[in-house]
Amino acid sequence: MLGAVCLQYRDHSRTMAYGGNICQIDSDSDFENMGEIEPGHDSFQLFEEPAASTQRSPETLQMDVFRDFTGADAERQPFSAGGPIRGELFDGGQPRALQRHRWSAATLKVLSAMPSRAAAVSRRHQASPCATSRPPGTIRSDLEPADVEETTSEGKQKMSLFTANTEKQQLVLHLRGLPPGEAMRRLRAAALSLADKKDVRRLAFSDAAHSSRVSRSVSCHCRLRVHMCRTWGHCLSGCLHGLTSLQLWHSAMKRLSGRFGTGVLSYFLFLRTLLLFNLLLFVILGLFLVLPQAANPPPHISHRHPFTGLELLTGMGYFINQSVMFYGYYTNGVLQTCRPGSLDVPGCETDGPQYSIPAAYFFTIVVSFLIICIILVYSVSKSFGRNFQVLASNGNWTVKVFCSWDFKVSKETPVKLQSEKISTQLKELLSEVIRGENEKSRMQRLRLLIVHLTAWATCLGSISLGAVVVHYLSETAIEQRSFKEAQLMLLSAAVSGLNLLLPSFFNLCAWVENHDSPSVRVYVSIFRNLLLKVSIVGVLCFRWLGRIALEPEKCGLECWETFVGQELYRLLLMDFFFTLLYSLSGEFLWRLFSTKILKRERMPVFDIARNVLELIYGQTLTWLGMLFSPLLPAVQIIKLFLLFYMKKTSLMLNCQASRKPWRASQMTTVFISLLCFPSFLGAALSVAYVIWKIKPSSRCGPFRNLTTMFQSGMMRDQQLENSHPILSWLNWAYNALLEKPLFLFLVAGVFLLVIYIRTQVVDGQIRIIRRLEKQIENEGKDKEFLIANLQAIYERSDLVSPH
Amino acid sequence: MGTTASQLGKDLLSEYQELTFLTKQEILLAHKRFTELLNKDEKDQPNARVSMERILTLPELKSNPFRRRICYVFSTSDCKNGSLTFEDFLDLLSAFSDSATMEIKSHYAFRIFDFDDDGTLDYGDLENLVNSLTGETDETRLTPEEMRQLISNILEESDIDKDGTVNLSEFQHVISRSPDFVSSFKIVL
Repeated sequence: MLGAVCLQYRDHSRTMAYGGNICQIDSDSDFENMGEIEPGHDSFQLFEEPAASTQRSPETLQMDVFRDFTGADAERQPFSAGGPIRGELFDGGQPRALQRHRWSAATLKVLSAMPSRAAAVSRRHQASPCATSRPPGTIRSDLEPADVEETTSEGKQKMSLFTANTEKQQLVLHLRGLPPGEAMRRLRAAALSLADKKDVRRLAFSDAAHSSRVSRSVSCHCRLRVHMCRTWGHCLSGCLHGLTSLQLWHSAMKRLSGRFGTGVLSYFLFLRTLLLFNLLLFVILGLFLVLPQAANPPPHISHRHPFTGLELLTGMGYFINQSVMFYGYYTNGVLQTCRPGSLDVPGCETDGPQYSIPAAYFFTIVVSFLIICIILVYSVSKSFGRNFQVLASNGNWTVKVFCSWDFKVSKETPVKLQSEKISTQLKELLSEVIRGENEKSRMQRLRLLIVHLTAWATCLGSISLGAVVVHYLSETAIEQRSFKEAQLMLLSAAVSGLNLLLPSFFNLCAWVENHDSPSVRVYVSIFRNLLLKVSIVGVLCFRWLGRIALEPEKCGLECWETFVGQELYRLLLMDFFFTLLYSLSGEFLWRLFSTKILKRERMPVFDIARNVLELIYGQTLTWLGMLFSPLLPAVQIIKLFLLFYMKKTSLMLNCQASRKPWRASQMTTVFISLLCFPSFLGAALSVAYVIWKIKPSSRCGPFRNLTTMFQSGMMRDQQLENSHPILSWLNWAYNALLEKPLFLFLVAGVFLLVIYIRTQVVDGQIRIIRRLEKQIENEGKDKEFLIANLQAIYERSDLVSPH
Repeated sequence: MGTTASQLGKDLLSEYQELTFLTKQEILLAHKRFTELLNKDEKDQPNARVSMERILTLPELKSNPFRRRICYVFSTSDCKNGSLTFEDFLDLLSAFSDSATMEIKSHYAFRIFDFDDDGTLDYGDLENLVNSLTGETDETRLTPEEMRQLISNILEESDIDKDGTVNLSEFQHVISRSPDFVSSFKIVL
């Protein structure tokens, strides 16, 4: 039967033409449709001439029809019309593919004109003559639409242009109904060529110009207002453009991303974000705290020290008592500003606005923490919303194939590396799927378990050991009560040294463990580093708040807050020096070792997770230290600035792009939530504890002679409250609201309600999406069924009709 | 920069600014780089067309495996030879710029990946795509069995109406789930 059909069709003079792709999937096709129809045959034109310019013209497309036909296996069912079609289509349970069937040319035309396909086909036309010949086709793009264009009749070209024009007309009509700003945004986002967009704009907005000409005579007042609005709009857009062009380090980052990809770029973007945070803090603290105090230095300063260079390192001496750097410099009094009196009365009037330093100190710190909290929570929620989609479980393969190519990478070697990376990743995942689950024997699993447990035990042991060392050093320093420079630097050096060495040790453990999936490896490494930093910062906080702050006299300290501020300053500096050491010597030496001695081509890889956690650690210290040293954000700014150039140089010279995949957006979300939750929350809680509970030192600082720092905010100084009524309002608010538990319960209740409602909404949306997907699948089946049946009817009528 | 600004008229510059996602500096830089590609006599022509070979000498496109498809997609030439005028070049940069919307990027990404220009991504297109991603050498290319498995996985995930091809809506639907797409689909001069 099959052979007979084949013979009959071979008699026709014209070979048939089908889509070239059909050849590829034919091994398990279960339905064949071999119809040979005259191209000009119009009896089956259900739709008008398709608008797509790249429709198939039957006589030019090549198709190995007979190759498939002779390669047919016996299981293929013969062509039959009518009833059995349905059975043939829907048995077997395989996904039906529209292109697995042999459609006739007319059907193909219809298929290619389907709206879902026509939407994505090129509509870019310009009447320019073809000067050069076509370049040879690459891979399988033999179906050059140019073939179609040249041999197509004039009518088809006119038809496609006409349809493109109707689409433009529709767009013009649509745009006219919108306000101008919105219309321009829509036009910009339309997928047309620039020439088409210019046409549309001319057509859509010429009418507006015409109508404005009519109304121009109405009133010149309106005209003036329109003119002012336009100039204001120009000014605003100009300002915005100016601001975005102030992008710091834009060209350097572009070079980095071109060579190393988006993962490394995310580290530098994170660094820039932290720099901007610190700049904001510096501006706030500087404006409200440092400047007023610096402009009015306190009356008496004891122990005038000469300034030596070593003090930059230790933060002692000059810095303690003679600069606005640390807490101890600030007075606890009220600054009287002078109102300019009349010329003949010299000196200050007493009723100028007062500026209370303690109140300013307290409120500035609290407000800056609040601002940072709001910004962080906002960015975390935005990041989460963008990167953790509702149905994120699906789409792994698709995302890997469609979204993994980084178009920013432009040099040849990184491009090759990227191809290798993608290929390795795909091959690994495919081998898992093809081979089935990795059947490990019991011995292997036991061995793996033992290896993991050992690695974890070693890491946790090393972390506790590090914490114990820091604690021991701290206790001996306190007991000895001697605060010589060398001993103080020892503690900071020990902390920074631990921060440097232990993460490398963790990397070694991870290399021994050899996790299966790279993302598990990254998360384990982040967790271990985080644990290390948290325990070290915890020990230090205990040292400061649990020992030094409670018994400052026992430690021989006059002003413990300044001491804590100095410690933080030293920690930041040491951190910077050790990072410098690591980048210059560590990566440089490793590269030399690797290339000269081991004779490998491999250079070290930039460890993104470790470096980002270093940044987060530095920022935690800054936030902790803001209370004790208001200029600490400035130090951090300088440090970050220098760090950028150092890391960039080291990267360019010593490192190469990583071979492992790195999901940049997910990692950025993880990092920014790490910045918010352990880091900022911990710092805020510690500062809150200090403000609420700890007694400030009685001989220095703006809060001397108070039980807690918190009291300064609650100062009931009548004169102050008269000049700043907002203070009395805040007092009232605190007493009425925050001290009563009912208010807090209500607020918490409202939040919980909102969260519950949102989760229910999300659940409902998931259910709707599933139902819609099912519906689309059914529509697809209907479409295929209809086309197959119509094709069958057409074939039958064609067979029957005499030629 | 001053001389190029005078070559590109102010009205034209502001029109380009309104119709594309590029800023003024980016347009001027694009104009500068584009005029570097022109011959001496072509510089006087208003709508000079640069052939694909010359466009592909740009360092940003030179090593990109999709460079030819990019030129074909953005070209408005009737011959479909991938040649670009300055306005086509601006379209290209606008679609790949930082501020372009997800819809525009996914639309053009779809057209770039649609190697046979039939409006859908079928087996052949996906195969071409994977081969472009994995490179030219034999050891990085996937075996036919791996290719089949990969493409059937992709179709299973993204082909909602089960017709064996991924059309534009399905592509945009699956792309919208990936936050990496917008950041990776960028070219900056």
